[in-house]
Formats: sequence, structure tokens, C-alpha cells
Amino acid sequence: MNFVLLMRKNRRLRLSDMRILRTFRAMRYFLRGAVLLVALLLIGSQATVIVEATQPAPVEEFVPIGELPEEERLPAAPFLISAYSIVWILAFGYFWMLSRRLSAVEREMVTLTKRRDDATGGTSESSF
Amino acid sequence: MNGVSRRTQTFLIVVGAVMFAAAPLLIASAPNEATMGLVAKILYFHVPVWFMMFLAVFICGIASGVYLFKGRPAADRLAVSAAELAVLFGVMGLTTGPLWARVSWGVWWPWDVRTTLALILEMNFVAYLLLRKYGGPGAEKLAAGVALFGMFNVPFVYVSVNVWRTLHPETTVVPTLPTAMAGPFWWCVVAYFVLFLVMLGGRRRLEDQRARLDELRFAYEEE
Repeated sequence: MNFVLLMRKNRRLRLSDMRILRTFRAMRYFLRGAVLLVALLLIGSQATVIVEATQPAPVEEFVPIGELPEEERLPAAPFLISAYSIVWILAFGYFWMLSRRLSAVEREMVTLTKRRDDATGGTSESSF
Repeated sequence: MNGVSRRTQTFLIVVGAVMFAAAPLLIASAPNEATMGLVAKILYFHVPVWFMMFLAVFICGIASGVYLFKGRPAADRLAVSAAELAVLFGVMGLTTGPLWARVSWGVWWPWDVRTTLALILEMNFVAYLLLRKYGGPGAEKLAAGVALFGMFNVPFVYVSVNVWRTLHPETTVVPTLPTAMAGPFWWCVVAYFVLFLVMLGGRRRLEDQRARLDELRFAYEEE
């Protein structure tokens, strides 16, 4: 680190010094990357162990919802309403996006036609 | 768009609105599925949404084939319109499915063959749209190839549940629905089909107007 600061302060760096500086920087980034990778791998492996330990044992067969204990059942209505809402939000969102894009294109067509008519001195029919 | 098409579009919007207004009542009156209960009512929009996704993929694939082999620009415009709808309906299917799975299977995403192939199909058409937007000159033909590949993926998505058995229901479920459930189901399928036609008409109109704008720009630059 001090070496880098020293090199930065020295304004009259020679070409060979610049090369050393670049190599030094590259090595520093490489080392940081390696440390980060090792840390991520360690965290990942630990997280997998923790998750596996807290997961309930997998069920071997399909159990109908009606036969599940009450505490394991999820309320169906919020999921059903969410699914229905998502479909409609996406559909209306798409219509809104479509009308915006369409009006932008039609606006540009009107502008261009007007500009063309002004340039030629004539009038052209437009039915956008 | 001429007057007749505009009238057809208005008629479809009215029909669609009436059908969708009645759909919740029909869904509510339908009986609950025996093993999954209330949450299985997601079926009434999850499955029709996937039907529309497949339809959009087929339209896009066939139009792309016509564009590739016959070079018709109108086919390309239809293909890009359908591709956008394929992505939209795919997103709807990929979000409603996990909500159903979480309650009935206990997991958000089971990574079985059906869900994984459906995700790949969705990504295929996202790739198509990205290619169209950022691919530069000649990207239309490349994208058409991608669309054809996506279309041939559909039969695999559809039959996957019969070949690789998982918790996902088989393809025999829809044809064997009891009448009390089949009525609302097919009502919803028709309603989504009408919605699909309205959306495709609108999107196609945008693409046609863009083509006209390009012609205008070209004519303006020529002068």
C-alpha cells in the first residue's frame, strides 16, 4: 500500500516503474478476489449445513392437504387472490405500456408528416 | 388499422370484459378439488394462461418460419408481437404456478422437468426479444431461428408430465374434469383467448405503425 502511495506521489515515474505498479495492482486485486472467493465458499458450505439441519425430514409420499396437521396447512385464499391479482396487474400493465408506446409512435408520425408537408409546401393525407 | 378491424377490436374488448366479469362468479361456484381444496382454483387462470403462452409461441414460430423462408416483413411483425405476448403470458404462468405449488406441494419451485422446461421456454423468448432490441442489423433472422427453436420446445413441455412423473398433474386432468369444473374452466380459456386476441391486435398495430414511421423517415431523408 505504501509503495503504491509513494509511486503515486512521484510524478516523474519511469515506464518500468509504471509496469511494476500495474503488476503490483493486478496482484493485489487477484489476492483480494481469492480471499473473497474462499470466504464465500466457506459461508456457502456453512449455510448449506445450517439449512439442512433446520429442514424437516422429506415426506416420502404425497399427503393431501386435508390430511395435514392444522399447523402445517397454509391459508389458501391469500395465495389464490394473489395469483389472480398478479395476472390482472400484468395484463393492465401491458395494456398501459402498449398504449403509451402506440401514442408515442403516432405522435412522431404526425410530427414527421407535418415537417415534411412544411418542407414541400403540400399536404399529405394521414390516418393514424 | 381499417374501420372493420377497429370494430372487431371493440367487439372483442366488450366480449372479453363481459366474460371476465362473469369468470369470478363461475370460479367461485365451481366445487373445490378433493385433495388440494380452495387453492386448486388457481387452475382456472394458471392453465388458460399457459395455453395462451403456447398459442403465442406457435404463432411466433410459424410467422418466423414464413419470414425466414419467404422473407415477408408482415410475418416478422406478427412474430415479434406474438413473442412479446409469449413472454407476458409466460410470466403470468411462472408466477401463478409457484403460488399454487407453495400451498399444495409445500415448495415454491419443485425443479421438476415441466417447470424447468417451461422456464427454459420463457427464457428462450426473453432472448428473442433481447436479440430484436440489441442484436443490430440482421437480428430479425437470428431471432426467427430462436423462435423456431422455442416452438419445437413446446411439445416437450406439454408431454413432460407424462414421461417424467412428478407431482405435476398429467395432461389427462383437463379432458377428464367433471362438468361442474369443466364449464368454468373452458369459459376462462375462451375469455383468455379473447384477451389474447385483443392484445395481439394492439401489439400488431404498434408494429405496423412503427413500420409506417420508418417509411416516413426514409421518405423524409430522401427528400
